[in-house]
Amino acid sequence: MVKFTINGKSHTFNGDEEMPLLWYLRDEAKLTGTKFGCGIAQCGACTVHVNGQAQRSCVLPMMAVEGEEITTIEGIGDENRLHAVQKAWIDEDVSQCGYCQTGQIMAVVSFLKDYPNPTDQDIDENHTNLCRCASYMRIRRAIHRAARYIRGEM
Amino acid sequence: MENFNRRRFLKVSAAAGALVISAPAISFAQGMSKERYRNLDTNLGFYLKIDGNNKITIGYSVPDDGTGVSTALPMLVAEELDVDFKTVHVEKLPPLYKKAEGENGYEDQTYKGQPIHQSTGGSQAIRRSYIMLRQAGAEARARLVMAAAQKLGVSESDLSTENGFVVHGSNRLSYGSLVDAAAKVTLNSEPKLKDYADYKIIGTDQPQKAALDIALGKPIYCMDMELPGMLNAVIARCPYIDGVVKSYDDTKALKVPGVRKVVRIHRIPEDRSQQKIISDGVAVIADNHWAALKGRDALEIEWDDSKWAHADDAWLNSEFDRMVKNGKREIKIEHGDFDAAYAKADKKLEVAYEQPYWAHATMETPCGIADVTKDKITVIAGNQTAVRVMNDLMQVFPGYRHDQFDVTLMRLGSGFGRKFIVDAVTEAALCSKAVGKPVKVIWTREDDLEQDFYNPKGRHVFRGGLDKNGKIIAANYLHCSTDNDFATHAFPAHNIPNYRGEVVHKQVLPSGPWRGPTENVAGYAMQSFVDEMAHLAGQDPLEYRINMFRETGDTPHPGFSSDFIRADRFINILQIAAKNAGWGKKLPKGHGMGVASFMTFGGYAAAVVEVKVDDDGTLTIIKASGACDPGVVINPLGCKGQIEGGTLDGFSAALGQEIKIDGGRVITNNFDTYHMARIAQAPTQFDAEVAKNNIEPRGMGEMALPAAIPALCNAIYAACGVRIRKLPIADQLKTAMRS
Repeated sequence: MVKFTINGKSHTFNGDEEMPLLWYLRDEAKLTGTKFGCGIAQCGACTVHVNGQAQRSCVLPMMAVEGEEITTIEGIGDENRLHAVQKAWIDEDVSQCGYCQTGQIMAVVSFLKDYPNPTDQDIDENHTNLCRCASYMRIRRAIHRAARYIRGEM
Repeated sequence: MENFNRRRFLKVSAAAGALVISAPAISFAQGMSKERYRNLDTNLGFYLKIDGNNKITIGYSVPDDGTGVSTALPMLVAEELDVDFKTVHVEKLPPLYKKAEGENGYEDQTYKGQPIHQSTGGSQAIRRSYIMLRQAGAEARARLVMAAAQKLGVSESDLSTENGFVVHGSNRLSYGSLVDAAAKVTLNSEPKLKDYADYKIIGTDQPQKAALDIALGKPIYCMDMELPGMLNAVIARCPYIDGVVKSYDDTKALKVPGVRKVVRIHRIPEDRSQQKIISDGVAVIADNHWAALKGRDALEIEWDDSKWAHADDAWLNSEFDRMVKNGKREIKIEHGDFDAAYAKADKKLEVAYEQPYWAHATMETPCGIADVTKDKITVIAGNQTAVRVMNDLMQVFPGYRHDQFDVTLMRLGSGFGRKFIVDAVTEAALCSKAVGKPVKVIWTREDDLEQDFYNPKGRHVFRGGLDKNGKIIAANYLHCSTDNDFATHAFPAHNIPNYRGEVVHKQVLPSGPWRGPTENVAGYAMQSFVDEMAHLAGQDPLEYRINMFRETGDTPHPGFSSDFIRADRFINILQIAAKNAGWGKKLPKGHGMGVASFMTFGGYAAAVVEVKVDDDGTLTIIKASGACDPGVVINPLGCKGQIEGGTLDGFSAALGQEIKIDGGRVITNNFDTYHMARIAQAPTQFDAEVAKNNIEPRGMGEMALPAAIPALCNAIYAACGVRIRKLPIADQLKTAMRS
């Protein structure tokens, strides 16, 4: 049995512990904001936080989440209280198809904890999520904007 | 006109009635129960729902795959309706279809005699909706005004409208208070549409209406949907090109906990000389996706790989050698006398460009949900067109009548042409029928990259001749391709007095439309060729292009969605991109600037790219300047997003994307081997600009990419003298700079 929390709520899991967290989130917990993109941790569409750090949930087996605090896109903000990164994403009109963007947002929330004042080079070296629509110009602008929101500059 | 009133009234009533389509019972998981299934039940014509609180909801008929139609199309209605677009809600309309006359299938419902456009692709949505949606908004407004006039006992000419209200002096009647009466009034004439100069919404920046749902991770894609009692399936499809299942053993698969059933899926069509729609394979149906995957891993399948067992990249390249040397050429376009003019040319160039197969790699892999019961087929899909979903399913399930299908299209996690194909949904329906429950089929990324309908591989051979002044007087373009779709007529075909465009075709992998079909690779080849000719002539590549159009004026361009190229628009768009890039300015050592321009589906695009190539061949894209002229710009913010995305999508394809085959199968089957650009490969600077004019609009989705790739390649040449004659660029520069 695996015990852990998702967005502050306790969960227990009794099934196949090889199953990646992604499919527990989507098929069991019905939290579908975390997306499937590649299954081999290459694209980042499935990014969630494990104890506040970004992780790619498509390769994280259930046995590895024992005792961990999982946060998904559904847990970082809501309609009335958007996370600064969500707000920046909307304000920069980043999304095209939008499918990868929850993973992008989760990766950036974690990234900005380590790089509260990121340079373009910091972004290039650390933000590797794939956007098939190639909305990278606006992703970059939104990262800088979110950093300013978090620093309280705007 | 005398029948107009009655006919129009009947049509609106009928439309309102026809739209009361009950929503399929989609269940959302706990925690999402407040999510409402969106299926707009309109009350004022096809597109509008206005409630008593004056909440205005505008329906859109085209599924949004990221080009922004779910914002741009409602803007057209809102413009004429006269409402505050910031407060407008938008919702996807259910498919508006009718039984095709005299045929066994569906076709789009019509409005004012024209089919309602409901498909995303070919950059057609805006073009096909520009007049119709404004008419719909204008008619609704006219009805509201007439209802208000009757209510107040005044003349319509005493009334005006403002942001969702009919105004009479200080009296303001909300649209919501008038909507019931407005649906019943009889209009005396067809309302006049606004003049371009009076637009208040069209031409203004409007953020994507879906932005909030996307940022919150709301379930808006097919992949997120469920039907009650639904099972999950994955399919082991034959990995060999046009191969089939020889035999299989499902004993171990059926022992995997959660696996319910294993089902043989037969190729559609069975005739292997025709391109597949459904691959031959074996489906594993289970309680959840993970169990289905494990079950699939446990299948033991022997494949028949005999048809293309010899196929690998070296063999395919030798096939192209044969196509160039002695393939059966078909002349697509010819004017003047190429052979005579080329023989007399002052300077000559003979050159070939190659580009590989590209995959769509839609971010949301193909996915489909179906519930096949005795009486009804319910489908949830992420496809680009609903009518094709229904018509294709009717071929596979001929026992069902047209009114027994219930199809819902969700937002698409990108499409790029891939999701015209009705494969995942058909597979889901076949599984559902076999297991007697609703089934969702999810494709893994390996499934997607191995089983795609690829952008064709090609080789483009040019012979070009200059006269003493450096003008191209003769050109011969031979395009050899694995698909039968060509753009040998594109710029500069009609700017060259003696020109012959010819093609050779041989199919290997299945192929299909991919963002800017055929223009995407013709742009690379033709605009690299023009650049080479400009350099051969010793002339500035920007001025060279401009001068070609100054000399010829407008030229024919008998392509999809276009008849001719207007010289003034072509020159203007080049000049905009060049100005934004600072064309001609002195650049640091190792930097270079390249330019290209192209027309795709009636839209004009130009790109100027600045790159840096280090001594060791490291390439950095410094800045891109993309300019497009689509005609009337509906949403500049969205258009600029398409210029940025289309340009960077082109860079991504050019830099690293290549489908490789070996032993008769695709071996680049995930993002570790199929290389797509990340943010680090994108430039940090980008100028996107849309030209302003009042010409009937074209769609933006495919316009930017065909000019972006050659602009990048031409910039590389300017920076370091290495000409990219083969895509992807990959590590060519490192190799070249070493030698």
